[in-house]
Amino acid sequence: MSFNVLIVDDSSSMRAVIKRTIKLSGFDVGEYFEAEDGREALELLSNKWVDIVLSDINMPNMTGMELIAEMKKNELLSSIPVILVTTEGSEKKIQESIRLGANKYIKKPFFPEEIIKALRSLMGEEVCDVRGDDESNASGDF
Amino acid sequence: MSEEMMKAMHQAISDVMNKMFFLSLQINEKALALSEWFSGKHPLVGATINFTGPSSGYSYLLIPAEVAREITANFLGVSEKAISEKQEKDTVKEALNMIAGRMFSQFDAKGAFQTGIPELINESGLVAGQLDSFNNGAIFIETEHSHMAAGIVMKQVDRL
Repeated sequence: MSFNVLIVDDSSSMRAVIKRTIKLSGFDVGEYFEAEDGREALELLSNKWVDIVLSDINMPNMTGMELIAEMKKNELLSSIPVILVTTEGSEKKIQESIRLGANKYIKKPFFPEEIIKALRSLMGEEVCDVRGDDESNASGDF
Repeated sequence: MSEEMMKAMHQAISDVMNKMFFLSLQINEKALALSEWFSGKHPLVGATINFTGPSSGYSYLLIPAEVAREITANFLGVSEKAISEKQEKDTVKEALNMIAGRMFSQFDAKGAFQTGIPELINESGLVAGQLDSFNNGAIFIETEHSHMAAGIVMKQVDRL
């Protein structure tokens, strides 16, 4: 079963790295969507079917925290899991993001395995490539 | 710059460059001036990121363009020939973003510091005469084939 991913980060390089990490990990992804900030992500979420969001926190126009807050207000978007991938590393920020409804929190810099583990945990094993070699790819060509 | 902040910055640079850019490096404790360190022969890519909190100021990262290209290729997993100038600049900004975030997370568990959005330094700010405005708090970094620099410039110290 494939799933659609939305990657939200104001750095195009970071979006590319996260996308590449997911691609190399053997997940069965239908479509990748990208947004530069929370506002663009919300617009995209109103038009496209997205199964999981990976978002930075510190972005112009609308932060990742504000994005989660807006998603939680919307019945259709509130159940979409959100993984925060961010340089914000304080315990206070982590607790605040959990309170708002973030499902996982990954600190930059990260190892690819951290993204893979979070996706598996939220999307389940069935979204992994049928080849079953995702484990070996996890720390491979990154 | 406080000793604690300087130590955290050293660690953050090393962590980020190793983990995300596969670059091993060491700190050169003897270098004195950025204008000498970079000698003005090679174009630089530079970025700054503001921070506020118990003290305020900005962190910076200065990288020769050819090293920026190398780390961008490592980061994105593509060949250096395929890298655009925009990607190079974006990667330098993101590297600094990660360094600053990592630095504060080492000693700021309460989240008292807030970092801004990284910005590129204009080319006019990267010429030899301007570089030395960054000297105070500079960290001189040697890579296998080249070198870079990073640092913190304090604007206001309320309570350190």
